[in-house]
Order: sequence, then C-alpha cells, then structure tokens
Amino acid sequence: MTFIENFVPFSIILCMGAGIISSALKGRTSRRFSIIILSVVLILSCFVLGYTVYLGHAFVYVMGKFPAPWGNELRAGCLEGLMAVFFSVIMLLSVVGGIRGQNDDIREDKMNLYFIMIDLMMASLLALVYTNDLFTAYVFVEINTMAACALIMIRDNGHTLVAATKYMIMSLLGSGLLLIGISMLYTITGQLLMPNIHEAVVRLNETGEYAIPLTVVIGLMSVALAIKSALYPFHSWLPEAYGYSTASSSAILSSLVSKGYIFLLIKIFYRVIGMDVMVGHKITNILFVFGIIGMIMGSVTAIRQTDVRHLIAYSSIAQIGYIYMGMGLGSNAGMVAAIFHIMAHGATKSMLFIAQRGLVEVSDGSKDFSDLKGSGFRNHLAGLAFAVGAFSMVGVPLLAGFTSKVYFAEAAITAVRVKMWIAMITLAISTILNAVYFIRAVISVYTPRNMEYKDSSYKPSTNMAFALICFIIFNFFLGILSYPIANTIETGLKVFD
Amino acid sequence: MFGPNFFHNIYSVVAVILFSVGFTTLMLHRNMIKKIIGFNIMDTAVYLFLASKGYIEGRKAPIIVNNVMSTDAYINPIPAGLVLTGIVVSVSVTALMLSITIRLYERYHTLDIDEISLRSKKDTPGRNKYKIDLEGEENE
Repeated sequence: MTFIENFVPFSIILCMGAGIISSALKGRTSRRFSIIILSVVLILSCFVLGYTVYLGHAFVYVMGKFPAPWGNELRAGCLEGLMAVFFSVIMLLSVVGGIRGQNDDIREDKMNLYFIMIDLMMASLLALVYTNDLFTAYVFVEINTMAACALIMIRDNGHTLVAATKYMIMSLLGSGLLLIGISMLYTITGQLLMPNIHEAVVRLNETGEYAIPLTVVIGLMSVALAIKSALYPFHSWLPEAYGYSTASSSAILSSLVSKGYIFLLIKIFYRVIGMDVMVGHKITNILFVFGIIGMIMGSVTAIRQTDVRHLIAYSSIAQIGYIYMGMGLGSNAGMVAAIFHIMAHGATKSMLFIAQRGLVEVSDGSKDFSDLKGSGFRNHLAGLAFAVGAFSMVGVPLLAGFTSKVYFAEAAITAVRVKMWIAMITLAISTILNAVYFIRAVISVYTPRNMEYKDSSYKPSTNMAFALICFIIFNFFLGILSYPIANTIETGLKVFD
Repeated sequence: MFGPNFFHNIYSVVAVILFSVGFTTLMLHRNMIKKIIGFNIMDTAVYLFLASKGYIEGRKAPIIVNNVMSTDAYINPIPAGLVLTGIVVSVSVTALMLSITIRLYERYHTLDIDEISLRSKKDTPGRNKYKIDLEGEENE
C-alpha cells in the first residue's frame, strides 16, 4: 500500500513534465494531452484520498530520502487528498467546458502555450497543497502567479493585457511580503520545514523571545496571502482579470488560483504558526473584520453591474469575504466551514463562468444583461446551469452554497458573542444582497424577449454540455451529501499538526 | 533612540528600509519600468537580509579546504541557497513583467499605467463579439 505514497510527488512531476511536452505539440493535440494528464492526476489524487482516509493519519513523503532538517518533504493527509481531488476535478471540467471559448479567443498557433500554463498551474496547485516546506511553497506561489498571469493574457486584447499587468503588480506586492515574512520566520526559528518551524514557534511563544518579530511575521504572511487571494481592500485587480479573459481562465482563476493561496494560509495557520498562537496574536480578528466588509462591499458593487462577467467577478469578492470570515472566527468549526466554502464556491463559480459563456454565445456575443434576455430559452442547458449556480450562491437548500452557509452559521453560534452577532447579521444581509443581484440575473436570463436571436440551429457543444452536467451534479452532491465531506475536512484538520 | 542592537543589526535595518522603498515604488509609481525597478529593489533587499543573517563573523564559506572538518569553521549555506532560489524567481518575474511592458508600449505608446488604463477603456467597443460558427461543430 505504501506504493500509493509515490503518487503524491508523481502527480506533481507528471504535470510539470506534461507542460514541457506540450511545448512541442500542436495546439489541439496539446489540449487532448493536457486533458488526459488532468484525468490521470484526478485518478491518482482519488487514490491518495482513499489511502489517507483508510490510513486515518497523514503520511510524509521525504524527497530524495534526505532526513528531516535538510530534506524537502511532501505531506498528505485526508484534507490534502480532498483538496487535490477537488482542484483536479474543477480544473478538468473548466478546461473541457471552455473548449469552444478557447477556440474563439486564443490564436491557433498559441494554443499549446495555453496548455503549458494549465499544466504548470495544476503542478503548482498540487505542490501548494502537498508541500511541507515553506520556501518550496513560496517558489510554487510564484509559479502559480506567473501561470495565472499568462492565463489572463492569452486572449490577446488590450483589456486582458491591462488586467494581467494589474494582477501582476498586486501579486508581486503579495509575493514580496510573503518572501520577507518567510525569511524573517527562518531567521527567528532556523527551520524551513513546517513541523520544525511549528516546534520552534511554540518554544518561542512560551519563552516570550522574539515576540515582536513573530507578530510581524504573522501579519506579513497573512496580508501577503490576503492580497494574492483578493480579500476586500486588495481586490482591485480581480474584476478585470475575471471579466475579460477566456471563460476557462476565469473559471480557473476564480475557483482555483485564489483558493490555492487560501489553502496555503490555512496550512500556515495550523501547521506553521499554530492556531492558538494565531488567535493569540489577534490576526484572526483582523481577517474577520475584512472578511465581513468584503461580504457586504462585494455584493453592493455587484448589484450595480450590468455585465454578467463583472457581476460574477464581484460576487467572487463577496465569497472570498465569507471564507475569510469563517477563518476569522478562530475556531475549528469556522475553519471547517471556510474549507467547505472553498469547495462550494469553487464548484459554483466555475460553473457560472462556463454557463455564462454558453449564454453569451447565443446572445450575439454580448455580455450585457439587456442582450442576455431570454438566452436561457436559446441555450437550455447553460440557462439551467446558470440558474443552479445563482441559486447555490444565494443559498437555496439542496445546493452547495446553502450547506456552506449552514456550516458558517453553526460555526458562528459557537464563537465569541460579539463575533456571533456580527457574523449572523452579516450573513443575513449578504444573503439578501446576493439574492437581489443573482435572482435579477436569472430573471433577465429567463425573460422572453429579443426573439430575433432565436435560432433553432444552435447546438451547444457537447464538451460544454458534459462539463455543465458534471458541475450541476457536483453542486447537488456538495449540497446534499455534505456530511462525509465535512467529516473528512474535520478529520483532516485534526491530523494537521 | 537606537537600542544597543541597532548597529549590530545594521544590515537588517538597511534591508528593511530598502524593502519599503521598493515596495512603495512598486505600489505607487505610475511608470511601468520604475515599478519593475522597485520590484527588483524589494527582492534584492530580502536577499541582503537573508545573506547578512547567514553570515557569521570570522567563518568561511562551507567548502572544505586543508581538511578542516569542524562545523565551527563554516557558515550556514542554506540562506545562500535560498537567495539563489529567490534570484531565479525574481529574474523570471522581471522577464515576464518586461515582456508585458513591451506589449503595453506597443499597443498604447506610453509607460504610464494610469494612462494605459484609461486608453484601454476607450480602446475597444463595449461589445465583445465572438465569432460563432453555428453550423460547423469544432473538431474536438
């Protein structure tokens, strides 16, 4: 059975190797190759998840068999396995669902470059999930950023160039802060592997040595990853980046890239600094406050949007706010809710982006709601998927978004009194705001008008149909069968240190 | 004003000042090239910080000469390794940023990011037409 442990490094190396091979392939061949590789990674990740659940505890894979303080390690518990499966599912469906979009938006001779970036992105996400070494995490954060930048700019027009530039500038600010944070942590602990740093931090916290540097380090790393995952005041790059890139890229950026950074922050919370030290330094309160502001402001801005892509993008800001709010509660239950929401939001947002593309296709290429009227009748499946996604984001029962809201509410009840009231009231307000813009969007998609567009010859591409059906099933699955997943997350967090 | 450790930690102080200079330039400057320079100053400051922390007074680089095997004779090589890794990362990011800047300059004939942002809004018509081929399914 220990053979399965090899799947962890192998899946990372497989993706990287696929990126290199893709550079020598022709556009469409490289896409086929990339889809095959992503499927293989999905199967490998399923094995890892099954093995870690069966094992009941985490295992450490020592790269090159160098012993602990010198070597580089990968670690997989059931939470890591779950995240790897989730990332590869969403990546696969986003790539498959957006195939027609890629054909339209990307120049034929640059197609293989796109799939190099997809492969690199997958490799870096897997590495961020599995790595046990903080500096390796930094390197893969940078690879992730560069791949994401390329995914934005591959659709060659002025908007995406500017969006990519803004994204890079904000991301580089974040990387700089993360790098100096890690360097400072290294100088006060003398370690780079997460469990060793954790030991040293616990010791420092007991003796009270280096108290101020430790606070600075915690602040730097939290702010760095908050910038990179577009927490509210740092979201300026997000609407353009999500709004103008090709549908697959938007889906990947919104549901995977920002989530990879958040997962790294959760790892830093639990495995590097330790949850009690984090709560002791009050950083959770700060994240909580910004999460709450993000939940409201994201939705308020989304209400004013008339462009469907921008609406979905601003809604992402609100949802990132939810995740940070859950993390800011400072309890295990809050963290379970946050991780569940990472999955729920990822599954829903990528579906919305792919479905949006299906609706835009039948509306003469316009993303404006006035032109999208009645598009749900012209492309039935995309309309259905858009409605399911919107209802899930609003929090209609049986769907993923509802379940994660229940978990947030449950976590908030057990939190401190002040946080409980703030969290509950903001959840209610935010749900109403979500309902205002998403229900309006669904209504306008299903308002029969502009019948001149009605073209019975339109056939949705089979790839998109397949992806959308999978997304809808995945959403209902997360909504109805949430118990085993939440359970896995909880056990995963327990074996996290 | 200065504690007793101020001069002992002079490299860290300089590194943090340089870091803030670079960070502010990257964040606030409008010129793309100066932003990139700012980014490089910021990263170099981190390397100065790491390198100065890795150095121990009176010891040598960890290359064994004259069969001196004692660990007391050598410095810790890991910070140097981290600096090298960091340099590789920042070089590739700089290359990417420069290539984006060239593309922006070709399209908008300016390096001012605010100006570029304004021009890009006027640049394309509000509608973004897709070419849709309703008859022919794609090959995939």
